[in-house]
Amino acid sequence: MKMKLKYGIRTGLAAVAAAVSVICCTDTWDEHYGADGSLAGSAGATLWDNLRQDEALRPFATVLDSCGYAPVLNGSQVFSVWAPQITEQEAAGWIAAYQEARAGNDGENPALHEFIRNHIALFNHQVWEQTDDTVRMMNGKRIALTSSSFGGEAMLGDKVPSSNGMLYKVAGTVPFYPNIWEQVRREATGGSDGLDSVEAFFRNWAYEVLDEGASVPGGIKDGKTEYLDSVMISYNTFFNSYGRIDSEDSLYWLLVPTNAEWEKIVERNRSFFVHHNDRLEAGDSLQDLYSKYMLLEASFFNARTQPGRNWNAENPDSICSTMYDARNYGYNCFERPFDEGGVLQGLTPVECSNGRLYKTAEWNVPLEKSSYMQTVKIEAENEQNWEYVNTTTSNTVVATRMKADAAYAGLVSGGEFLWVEDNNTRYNKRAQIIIKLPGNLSGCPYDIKVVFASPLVLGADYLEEAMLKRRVTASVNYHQSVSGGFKTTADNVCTNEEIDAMLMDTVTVAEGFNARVSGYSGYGFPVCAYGEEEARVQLTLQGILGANPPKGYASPLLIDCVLFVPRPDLIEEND
Amino acid sequence: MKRYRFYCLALLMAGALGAQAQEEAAADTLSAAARPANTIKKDVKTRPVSGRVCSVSSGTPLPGALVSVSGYEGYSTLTGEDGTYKFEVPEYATALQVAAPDHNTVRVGINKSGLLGDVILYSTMTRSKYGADDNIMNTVEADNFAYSPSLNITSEIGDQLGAYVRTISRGGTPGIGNYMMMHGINSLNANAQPLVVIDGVIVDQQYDRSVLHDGFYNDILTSFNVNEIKSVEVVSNGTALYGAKGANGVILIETKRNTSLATKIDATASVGITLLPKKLDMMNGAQYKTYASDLLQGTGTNITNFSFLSTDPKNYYYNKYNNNTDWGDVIYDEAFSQNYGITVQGGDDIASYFLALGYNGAHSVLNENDMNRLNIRFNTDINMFKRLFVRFDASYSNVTRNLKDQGAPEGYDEGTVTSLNFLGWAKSPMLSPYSYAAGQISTAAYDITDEDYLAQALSGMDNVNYQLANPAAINEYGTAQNKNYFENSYMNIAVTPKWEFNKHLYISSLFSYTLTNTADKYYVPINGVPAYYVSSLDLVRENEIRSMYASQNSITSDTKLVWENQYGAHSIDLMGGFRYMNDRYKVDTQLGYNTGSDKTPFINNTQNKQTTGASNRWTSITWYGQARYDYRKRYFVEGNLAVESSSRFGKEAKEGFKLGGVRWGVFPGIQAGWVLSNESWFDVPGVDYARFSMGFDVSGNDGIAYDATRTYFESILYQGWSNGLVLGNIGNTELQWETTRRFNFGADLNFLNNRLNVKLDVYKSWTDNLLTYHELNFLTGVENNWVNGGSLENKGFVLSFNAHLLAKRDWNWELGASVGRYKNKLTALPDGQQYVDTPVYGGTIRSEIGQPVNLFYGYKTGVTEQGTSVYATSREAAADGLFIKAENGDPIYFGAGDVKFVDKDGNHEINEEDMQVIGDPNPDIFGNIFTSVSWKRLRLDVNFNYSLGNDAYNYLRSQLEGGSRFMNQTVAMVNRWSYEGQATDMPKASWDDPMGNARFSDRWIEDASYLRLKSITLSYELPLNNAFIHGLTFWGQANNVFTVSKYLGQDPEFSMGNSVLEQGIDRGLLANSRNFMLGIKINL
Repeated sequence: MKMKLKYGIRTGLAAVAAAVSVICCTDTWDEHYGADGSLAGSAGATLWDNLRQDEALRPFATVLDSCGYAPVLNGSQVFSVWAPQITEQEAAGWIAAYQEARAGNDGENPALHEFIRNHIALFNHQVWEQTDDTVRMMNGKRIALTSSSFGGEAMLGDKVPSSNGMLYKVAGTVPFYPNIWEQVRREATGGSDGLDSVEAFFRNWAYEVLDEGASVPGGIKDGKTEYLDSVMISYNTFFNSYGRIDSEDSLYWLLVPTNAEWEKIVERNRSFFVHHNDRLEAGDSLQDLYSKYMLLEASFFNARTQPGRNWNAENPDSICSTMYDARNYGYNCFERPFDEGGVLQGLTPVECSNGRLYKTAEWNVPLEKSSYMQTVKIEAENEQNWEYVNTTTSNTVVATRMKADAAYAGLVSGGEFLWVEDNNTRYNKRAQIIIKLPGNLSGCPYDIKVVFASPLVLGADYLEEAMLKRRVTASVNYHQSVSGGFKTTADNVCTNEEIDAMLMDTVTVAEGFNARVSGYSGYGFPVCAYGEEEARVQLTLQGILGANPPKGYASPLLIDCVLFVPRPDLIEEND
Repeated sequence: MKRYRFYCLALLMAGALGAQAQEEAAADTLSAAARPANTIKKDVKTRPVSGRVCSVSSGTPLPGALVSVSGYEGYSTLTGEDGTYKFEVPEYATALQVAAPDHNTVRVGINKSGLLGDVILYSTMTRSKYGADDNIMNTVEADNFAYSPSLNITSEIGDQLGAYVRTISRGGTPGIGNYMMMHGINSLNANAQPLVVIDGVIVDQQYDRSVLHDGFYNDILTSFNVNEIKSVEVVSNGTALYGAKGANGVILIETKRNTSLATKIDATASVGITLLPKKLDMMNGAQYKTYASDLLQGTGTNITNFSFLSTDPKNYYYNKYNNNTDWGDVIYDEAFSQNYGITVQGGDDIASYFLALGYNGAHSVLNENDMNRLNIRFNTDINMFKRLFVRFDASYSNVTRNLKDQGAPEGYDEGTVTSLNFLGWAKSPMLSPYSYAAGQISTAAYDITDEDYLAQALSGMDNVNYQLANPAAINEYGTAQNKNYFENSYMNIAVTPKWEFNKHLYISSLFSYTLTNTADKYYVPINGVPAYYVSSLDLVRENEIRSMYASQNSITSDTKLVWENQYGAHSIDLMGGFRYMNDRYKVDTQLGYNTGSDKTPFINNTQNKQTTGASNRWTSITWYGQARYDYRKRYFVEGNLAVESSSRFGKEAKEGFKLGGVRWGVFPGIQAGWVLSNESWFDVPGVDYARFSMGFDVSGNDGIAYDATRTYFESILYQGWSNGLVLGNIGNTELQWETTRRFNFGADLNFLNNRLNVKLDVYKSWTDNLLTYHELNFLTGVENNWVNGGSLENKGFVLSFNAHLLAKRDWNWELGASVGRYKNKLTALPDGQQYVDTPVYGGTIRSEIGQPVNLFYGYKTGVTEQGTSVYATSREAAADGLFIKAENGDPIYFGAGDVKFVDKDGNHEINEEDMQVIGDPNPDIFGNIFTSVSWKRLRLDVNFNYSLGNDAYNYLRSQLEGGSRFMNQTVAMVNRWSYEGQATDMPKASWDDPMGNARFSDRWIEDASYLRLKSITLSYELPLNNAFIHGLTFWGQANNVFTVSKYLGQDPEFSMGNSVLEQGIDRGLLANSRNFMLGIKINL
């Protein structure tokens, strides 16, 4: 019995042990989760540790260490490093370069930007036999990667997987491929052929401002918030507006003049932007700003967003700047740029990582294609665009805003016009009005054209009125100098010019107008109003004088609009 | 003198046995329990029987043991000082029953000669191998809950009844209960858990009801204090008596009643501590940063400098992002629990009572998920008049909880993750739970700002919930009675008058009223929780508040007429009855977003408010009858019949019959038994008892959706703004119950002087009229409706044994085990379907004809040249040429670092056609193992349970090793593929998983077999002879001591829902953990 009992006990225990052994496997847990989650071999070491293990990479490691990248590659962020085999001398050179530019922006420190970050990419990039790709490096550059080469340099030895990325060894330094802005900076070498002027101009637009939202405010001291962590936003407002030639996100062409040409063009432009002294010291600044700013207005071309279909980069029919506006198609777009007289004629581009840099010693951008040379159109019916003539009888002149009949609204600019007449019945009765002409340039002749509306646009009831002709006498007044006001007496530009009231009649009251002021011998007006709200040019329009106009004529003037047309071509013709 | 002592002892014995008989008489009359005592018939022919009774404890003959005729009253004697007995028994008597104080009762068959061998009695320190009667239904019972720390009786069912009821823990939340199933899977879409009857009242377990908190189920059984429960009986066979509710088996629970004429006061107190659950090995801060840095590659960001990756200690954020937080430490704490109870019982001939008061306070190891429960029970038995007896029972329970979401979310589009324990895994370890200011991490205030370390890189990603909340802040700002708080109150009043016409005939009528009120308040705080996208609103919201109030009124009336008699060798019991049940369930829920402040958790000022609700009322009527007959306690036969109608049945149901305008289902059953050892010719050495039984039952499952037979409209909030009505369902008036026919065979055998007991229950069942979805034409505007169609089968067995390995005067050692096995097979589906796929948590559960109903159906991983499942090289991936198709139809090829999936159809495209069965959540075998060792009054009980051969879908791991989101991952992901040639089974990390490497595949299917040392209990009864204290028992218990398993989750035992299709899916609900209890019981 005892034997049976023992046998039973043994059997039971054996069964339990067997059941336990069947399902027991703590190794499964350890095998899956690992003892501590660490990886074996090089894969368990950081990039930095693995990099230091390779004797051939010591110089590169020295540069990294000297430039503060050791902790970065020894941290948790994942990188792919293509470590170049460089000499100790090269390493010393990079370290010196780093030290030299250390105080400045990291992005302009060549050791960091052009060397270290040109060999390190974020994330884990792998290669195999069929790899044919590009890798975006930490400096934003895309560098070609194949199974055996990186940026044209041969990859050597075995890749070294690391806990925080991949380590590759390359035969030598991978060349840095600058973008347009970096190329401009590179070519700011002084001399007449350099691009220092442009580079300086661009750099003036670089800003670094505090991002209050992202920054961490501390206490307030002396009424000002102190930030524990200041997040600065760096940007270039000019590039933001005209084209991000400082990034690798798109493909640009940039046309810039050499220093010598820059001086020449800017000097020429200065004559267009002579501001009145009432702008105080800003006048000079504006003149300087506009003369440079407007020069480069048509210099940025985005090769990916050209409006022409099937745009051919090698031989384009036209090339439009980033400021091109299809609604103003006459400006900032240039036909046949490589042909004779074209804006890019004869220029050899410098290929950059984000496009081409065209440097020219002969600025072929025609003035008439510049947006600041646009015709200014003044709608007469808008109250802010006119004023009564200040005479003793002016209070009898009435200017009425009239709305064209719907059937003819398309004929009238804005669908409305200004009806000017004098209610006086005396001898000096005369419809007259002053039209303010804003935004004029200085030093540039102007055509002044007045579009007179036909009474017929009010409907068939006005046929009789329309059959009466009008006459217009015009004079132009303007600021006679940078310090003076309007002239005492306006320059008469036309007298009793006939107007056919049966049609929308455009009358050129002045052609190629140049100021008639003693001491001023330039073109156009002596003072510009470009970018100003206030008009510095006035056009006075007068109808027939007298209570009883000649038979077949009528006194009222029906003014639709005034066209204020710059004529830079006349400058050139006379030059 | 010796003789005098002997007679005194015999007198005491008789008194004790009388009390025992009274206790048995109180048992449910549906079971084969006590019968009214027969008058001794003088004209019965008798014959002498003789033998000897020995106590195995002392190894000597046992004087004073009561020897009586088994099954027939009126024939008994006491053993003499030499342990011998001799008395006359009726000729038809076939067995004797032997009982003695401190010993378990034993039965012994009477042979032809009447000269019986020695009967060995075992100490009550071991389990009894004989029930009160010959158990032809093969029911099993558990009744030892003296030291139970369980807050829910289902835990004890699992521990003590092993393979008879497959219980699966829902997790470690106090009192969350267990999923139960008996005899396989008997339904596909309807409830498959057994019917629970408490004191004759069918309890609606609200299996299909939901609460607001994710991962929580309101188990109604938690309303019952385990210490108030006398016994749990598992009824696998003969379930026809329960008509359309019995197909999944029945669990009969009896609460305690008075058993003594003297007043008895028992006080219990226990305290315990629960340790932290098993931890997954998660990445540390540095490892996570590398992972996150890796993952950024797929986000398309061009940023090169990230604050959280800075290695410069001078960086302002360096301290913020250079922590190594174990978020488990933040959300978990060892939990203290305390249980107090007092019972008072007593009475006289007229009335007796049992009063119980109990309080349980259980902290959860998951902070701010505590539970408190108050129980009051008052059970009385009143002899109103000579023949009128009344039972009046009243009970009330109130359960309150602080509650939070648990488990991995099913998706990330409908809100942010608010599950505490999931955040404990997924939250980045580099972050601190405390606020960061002035370059320093606070030690006092939690971080309430939105997680922002990805803001730089992902700022352009709208409507992607990539930020994770601070779980500490959720607890800090989301814990309050008007925020995340749950309350369930349960009240029951039951009156059962019983009129005895004579000693053979009585009528009794049970009337029960139950009120179950459930209130759940849910709140997502603003502080510490990021604003999140809600896809159903297509809006980004700041926070939300929800509330639910549900109330269920249940009325049960159960009237039955019982007649019982014996005619010599013939025993006949007849019973007929009528049961009426009426339930009304009302629920209202509200939801609103943007409360404005955590100090104003009110729904009235919120935005996008939604109010929903339901009012369900259903009724069922059952006529039932039972007839039993046995001859000489050798041959037994029992017939059951139930006829049931329910308002949930369609009026045009095809089966059953129509009467009174409603459809009635008919559920017959028959059981037969043969006690072989009661045959006079049976005299097999070593076999002490042998019983065989078999039967066939037809029972039903009325778990039909409340409104499935009706066509109705339902309200919707159109585009989040306008209320409207749409067709909600097209009712199927032919809908009916599921019908299960079950054949069973059972055996109960005792060997080796009753040292060894073996029980066997073999069954095969066929279930027809499965409730399944029927796809409707799109013109109807309704996707599908319910139909009866499809069939399934189950076959299996339950085998248990219990052995007394050591039985000495002071020492006893007992060992037992049970083994359960079932094999489920779907045999038919409606509409010519071969299978039904059900999406659950990113996986597909396939129910296919010829297979079990709940198989995991997904992708298989292949084997690469390196023997791994992940392509080590681009060359190999390119050679294989596997691809998926992009939305535009273009192929996207798998590359190095991607998982190699099996291309089943060989077309190189990995799509749904390549899915196959990848796992089976059903175990090969399951059950329990127990052993008890006692020395004098010191006793050690050890319980194991196990499950072998069951697969699990480790959904939690799929989220923590998916490598596609900015969530912390397990350390296994450190070994993710990261370079050409790397041989690993962990694919590369890739944001949003474009190749579907984390798709539902055998990567997440694991063997969840386990063997668990469930409990160790050491108890000691202090011998006392004091006028004030009659007994003092001390005990200590350890639960969930250890688990042996290959499973890679926290706990291989889990159940995330009440559907059979949700079993075997581990979504990371709070896992069970070690618990230690110390308790004392004082008898006054």
